[in-house]
Amino acid sequence: MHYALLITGSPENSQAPYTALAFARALLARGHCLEGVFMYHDGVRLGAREKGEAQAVTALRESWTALHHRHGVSLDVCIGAASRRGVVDQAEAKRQGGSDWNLEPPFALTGLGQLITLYQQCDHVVTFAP
Amino acid sequence: MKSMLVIVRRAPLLDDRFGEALDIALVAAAFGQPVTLLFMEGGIDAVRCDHTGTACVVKHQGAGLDALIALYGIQRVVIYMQDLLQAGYPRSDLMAGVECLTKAEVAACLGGADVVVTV
Repeated sequence: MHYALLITGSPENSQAPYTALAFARALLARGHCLEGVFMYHDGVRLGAREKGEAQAVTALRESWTALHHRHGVSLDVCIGAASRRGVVDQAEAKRQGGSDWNLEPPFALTGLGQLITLYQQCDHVVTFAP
Repeated sequence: MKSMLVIVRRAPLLDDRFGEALDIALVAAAFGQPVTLLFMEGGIDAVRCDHTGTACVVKHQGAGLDALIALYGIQRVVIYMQDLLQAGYPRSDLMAGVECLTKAEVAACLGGADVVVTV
């Protein structure tokens, strides 16, 4: 089966990205295909590196990064939701005339069209919300 | 092409959830997907008209909700009637084209959609 995950809860205030990670690992262990992970609403904070963040959040981001490297799972962050929450990558920071960014690969800014494509392509899109 | 049901449960001015749920519906419609918008709970505030009974109260990205729905070609806009009654709004307050659904009809709506999304 082809799956995608939608995460709408932040790692600071919800269990959503932690449960999503466990679900993703279970899917892949059972031989299913994980087409992508889309972060929306407060879920975009998963990709953002913040000063003084909890170790658990850093470890969670590293776990998602490892999942990307091992299985090639794309980690897409909605650009609209991200910019509303001060989450920017290097290119977006440069475009806005800033010098600081907090989103780094493999997390990638993308549009909502990517989520719609996942809905079209996958058998199941599972939402992890707060 | 999968049909999509987007559920809006938050009042428009409460936080980002209203706008972000609506954005999914608008982008999906722009991609040519058949989209139904279901307003429930606080979300029903979004489909009310102003005191003149013509203009939609809620604006999103500078445009009235009714204009956006027409512009993007969202096929169907529905609300859960029980939530309307609970809020004490008369049906005449609703913007044109909104259908009021019973509990059974909402269930059928959920069952009939290929994809159900809520933020």
